[in-house]
Amino acid sequence: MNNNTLEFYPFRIFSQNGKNYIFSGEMSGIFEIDKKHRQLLHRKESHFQKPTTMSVN
Amino acid sequence: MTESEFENLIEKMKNFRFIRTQETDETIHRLRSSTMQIGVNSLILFVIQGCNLRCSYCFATDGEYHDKGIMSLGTAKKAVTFLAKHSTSDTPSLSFFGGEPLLNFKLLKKLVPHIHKVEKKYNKQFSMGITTNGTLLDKEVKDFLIQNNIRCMISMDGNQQTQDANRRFANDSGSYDLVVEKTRDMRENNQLSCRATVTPISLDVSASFEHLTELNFTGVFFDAAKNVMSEKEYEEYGRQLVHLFEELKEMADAGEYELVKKSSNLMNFLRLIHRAGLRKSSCGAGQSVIAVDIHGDIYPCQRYVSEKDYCIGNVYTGWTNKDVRNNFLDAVNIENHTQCSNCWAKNLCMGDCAYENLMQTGSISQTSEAICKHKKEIFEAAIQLYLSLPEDFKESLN
Repeated sequence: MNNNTLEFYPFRIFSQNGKNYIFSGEMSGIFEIDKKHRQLLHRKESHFQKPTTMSVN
Repeated sequence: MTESEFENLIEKMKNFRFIRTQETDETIHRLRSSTMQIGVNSLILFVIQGCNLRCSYCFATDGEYHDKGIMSLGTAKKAVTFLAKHSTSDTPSLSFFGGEPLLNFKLLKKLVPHIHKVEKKYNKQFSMGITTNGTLLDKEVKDFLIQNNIRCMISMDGNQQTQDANRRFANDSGSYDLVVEKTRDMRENNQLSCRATVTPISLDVSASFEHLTELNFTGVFFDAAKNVMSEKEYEEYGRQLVHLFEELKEMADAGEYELVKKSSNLMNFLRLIHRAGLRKSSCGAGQSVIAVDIHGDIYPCQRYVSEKDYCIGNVYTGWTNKDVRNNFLDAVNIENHTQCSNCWAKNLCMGDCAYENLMQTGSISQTSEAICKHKKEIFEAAIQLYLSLPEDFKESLN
């Protein structure tokens, strides 16, 4: 695995009552996410100061 | 976002095993591949292979599984001892099954007192249940079930038209009126749950759910008879089940939780979602769950009975076919379902029912596209509903 690549386990984003949640497929965990998480998961790399590449399943 | 905020965010995601690292990959693989043996905590006992109904969709050739006969008391006792010895639970589950198990009520009357002796000897309390078509429930049988705390599930498919078309006697008469009459008092006393098989004539599961809950069954579980459904019909069944879940979500939003709890399909999914954690296979078949046929032969679950290639042992001789069992457990392990490796619903679906996979694709480890699509849609609907539930309801799922 390349150290410069952020890789996520398969996930799905759900919205309910104005809140966003992420369901993580490997462990079935559900977490509420905020704008920053959502930005990260949508590969908006420019929002981050630390250079990185991302691979989202 | 600052570098510090970014680092914190990444750390949190790692802790939740959301970010993939070599370390988490190895841990997950090790846990799922572990050969650690869980005890046999659920046994499905075929007290008879034969039935008084001739259901249109029966996969077991009129309940006989190509091998008609009844179980002897000796074999039944041996199976009970096998469960007591091999279970790690203090409350192992024992289900009386068939065919129609009440056709061998004589055996149950002798076996249950023996079970109570075994419970004392092994310091366990068996959780007993029976799945019956309800046509043979008389006062003696009902008193026996209630006195011995045997949970009772009735196989009933829906309204009169559906039930009479699907579930008929050998003389071709329908069974609805008789089952409704025989089960009346137990339904009124909240002592019966229901298992409904969905066929092409009963795809409207919302209508069936409404009818069966009006009959006051404590829970209703739907399962599709895929062996009599076309791909299009199965897709429609999937849509109808999602529709039912959407209706149940509206009920939950309106605070009608008692009705929501009656959907056994939904409650099973909600528990899976709530409890989270790493899972290895879909149902425990062959590991924590086994079925024992009339001869004492052991199979991974009731669906495999009489499939000699999947016989994994015998209650008299033990795990005689260890290779068959190990191969089966490897095949059902989600780590070996390559098509699931990048699926977000993997840890809920676990590659679906191994037997259905075998029937649909010829491989235990390969799920058909139709089932795969259906399962993802149904889990999406269940997660949406879960997220809308109040915290106390979620806590009750523990």
